[in-house]
Amino acid sequence: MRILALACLGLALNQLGAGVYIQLKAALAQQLIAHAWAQPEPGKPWPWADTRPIARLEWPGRGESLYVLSGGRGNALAFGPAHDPASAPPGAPGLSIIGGHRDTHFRFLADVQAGEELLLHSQTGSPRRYQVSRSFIADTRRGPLRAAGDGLLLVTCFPFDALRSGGPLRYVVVARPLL
Amino acid sequence: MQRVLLIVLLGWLGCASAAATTRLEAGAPAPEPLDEPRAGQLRLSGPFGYRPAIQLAAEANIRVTGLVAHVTLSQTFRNDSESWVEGEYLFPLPDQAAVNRLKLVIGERVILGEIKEKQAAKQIYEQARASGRKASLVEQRRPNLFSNRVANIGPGEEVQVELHYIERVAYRDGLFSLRLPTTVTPRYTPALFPAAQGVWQFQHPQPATDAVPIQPITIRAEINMGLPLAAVDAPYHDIALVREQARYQVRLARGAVPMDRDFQLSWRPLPGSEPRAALFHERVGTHEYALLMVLPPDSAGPVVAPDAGLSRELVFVIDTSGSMGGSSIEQARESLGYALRRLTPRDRFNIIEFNSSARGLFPRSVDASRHNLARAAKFVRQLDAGGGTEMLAALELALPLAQADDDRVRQVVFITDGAVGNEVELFRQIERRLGRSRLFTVGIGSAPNAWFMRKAAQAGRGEHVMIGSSLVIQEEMHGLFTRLAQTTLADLDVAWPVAVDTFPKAIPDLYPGQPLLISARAEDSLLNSTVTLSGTGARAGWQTELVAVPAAAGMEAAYTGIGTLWARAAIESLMDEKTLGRDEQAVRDAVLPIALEHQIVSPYTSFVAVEQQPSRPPESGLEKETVANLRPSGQAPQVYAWPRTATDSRFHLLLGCLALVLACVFWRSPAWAWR
Repeated sequence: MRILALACLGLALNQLGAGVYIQLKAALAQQLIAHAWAQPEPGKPWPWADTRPIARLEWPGRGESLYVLSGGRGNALAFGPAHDPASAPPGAPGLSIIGGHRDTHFRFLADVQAGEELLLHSQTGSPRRYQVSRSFIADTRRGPLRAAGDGLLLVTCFPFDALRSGGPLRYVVVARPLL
Repeated sequence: MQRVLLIVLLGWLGCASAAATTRLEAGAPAPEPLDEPRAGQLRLSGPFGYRPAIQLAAEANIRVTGLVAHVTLSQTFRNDSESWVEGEYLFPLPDQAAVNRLKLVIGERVILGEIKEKQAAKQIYEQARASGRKASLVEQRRPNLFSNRVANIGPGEEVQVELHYIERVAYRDGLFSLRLPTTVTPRYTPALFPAAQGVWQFQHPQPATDAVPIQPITIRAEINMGLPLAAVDAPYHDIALVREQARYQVRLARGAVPMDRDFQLSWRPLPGSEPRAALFHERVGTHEYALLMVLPPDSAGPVVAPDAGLSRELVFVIDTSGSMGGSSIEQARESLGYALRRLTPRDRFNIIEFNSSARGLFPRSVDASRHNLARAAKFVRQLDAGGGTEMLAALELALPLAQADDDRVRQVVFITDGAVGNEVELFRQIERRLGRSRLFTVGIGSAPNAWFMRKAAQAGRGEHVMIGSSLVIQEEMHGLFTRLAQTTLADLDVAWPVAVDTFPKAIPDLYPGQPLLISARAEDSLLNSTVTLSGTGARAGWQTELVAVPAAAGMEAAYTGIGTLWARAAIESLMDEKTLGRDEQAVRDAVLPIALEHQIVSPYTSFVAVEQQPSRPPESGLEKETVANLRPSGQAPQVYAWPRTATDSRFHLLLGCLALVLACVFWRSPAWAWR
């Protein structure tokens, strides 16, 4: 019986470790990125990083502040919301697509309402103001994301409280620039 | 100090749980480019779920004799689903390919396709589809983009579509080459020009197994130049070579390869035996057709004489749009870096970068001083890909309407993958704004839009080069810069013994190492008559004569397809006229008879093959499936790809808590409770 209990304890530690690891990594990385961002020319937040911060998203109403990472390949998403390099650079004219994990950085998107304002800080120049215009749920099985115009698309997985990853649904928040 | 601690902590976390990392990566990464199709486990549950739809395999059989390549391309559609389906596949062909045969192979039956007017062909196909008969329709979507639709493929059935096309091989600097494109770079179409919608639905990546490449292609080639070769090379594939006298057999060393990069084959005759002139002719119907190739002597001198005070102005335009992401932008940076190192202090230069908008490094061209070059080198190192491809803005910057009125040679070098959908508007602007400038295009990436590269360079009276991998950058850019630094052979004239209709209509300027290639249709027999060519080089005049002789033994194939090549060139020239504003109806009336006589697919003619007896019982419905192209190798994710935005952290936490509770229960409960 003791052996069974120890096995369960082992499993518990393993699973808790894995879960905490993901959450810890997400929170910790943002701290390091904040440091890298403060440099005059943002470089790698830690020596073996394969990504770098390119913008900062700020939600004045909720006290949220997130560093957006250059996307490309790899696991930038584990460390922060990542920009899809095929879309326009954040803050530039055109449509920028930023993806983030539903259970770490983009968890708060579940509560975001149309009309909320957010700020996008780029490395240079003044921040650009955006307003959330709408949000919707999309099914990836119906083909790729189609969107046009000027603005930000924040993409995360849906439903927010699903246990496992890899589901087909996405939650998309659309924000349009305020002049 | 705090930061160092954080880094150490993160590093430790990274090592702490290798198992957790694997799990995380299975859930976390952004969409991956499909550059390693064998690495595929993740893609089984790819972003669009598993689709047991139409699978496609292809086989290309290339036969080169003289200057003509005869290519047979078979595409096998296999239906792994439970229902009757229609397969649709969009595929690229070389820009100047003339598709002149279609065969539909179902089991042991062979159905020959017929060339028809486009709408008529479509109608025949739709009728066959509705009545349950197997049918295939091959249409031209763009000059180098074709679609193949196959109707009524039964459950578990295989249908093979065999296409045959003829192409002229390229010849430059003593090197012959041929390109077989296998996938399509998604085109960026600005919102103003909604032309490429038809292309998008074919761009989805498809799930693959890790056992066989999805969409494999096998390629075989035979080269017979009638002379010994010094080298045969395929820069992007491993090949195996067998020689029988002057025939060279090429096949892929690893059998089938995924269709994610263009196949390029090049070969070089032994030094000293390079052909300098050739005249091929063929009789088709009432006309005699000829293909003339002449390599002028290397009498050209440098563009800027060392003692003269003149200098060049070089404007580099570099595409940093999203489609250039991945290895393409690296190749572009490397090419540009090479170009900068080739500048001399007398040159002036500027760099223009464009994606969703265009901006120049300097407001206007500056001297290639050490300081300016250092600034440029830094600028180039920091270039990154992202955003749209608004090429027009860049063109307007590079080719201003009011150009400085001096004797300076002005050369614009455009480095791009040409992933644009508004080509026509761009060509028009190039012609309008060119003035004294010359436009050169450098095609980057594993699947650049070659048609755009060639036509843009033609409109800009310059040249184009293709760079498919970092390995060939040095060589190709060196070649381009050598030509940029040399004068052209001008005022070329060809005197034919009989009345002829030739393409290209205007004979272009020639750079050293570049042959003059002319397709002609003659009213009378050319056999044993003489063609005279003349021109002026930088130093002296030049003249040569050519006699049309019958084909040598074993080289007859070099004389077949000459008429088809002429027809393809004629149609292309007519379509260019339409681009430049000629009435569409008039162009159509001129193209149709040529395409029908020579049996080739054109914007107004399609191939259609229909089975005699219906094979699908009327009560089973027909579903439609598209076969997606692989994303070109090395290209970063495109716009509109869905990110994977969830981790299993909650699942792990929940499972961990449950296990913890169980552990407590087991620990506390006395052993007798379980008896």
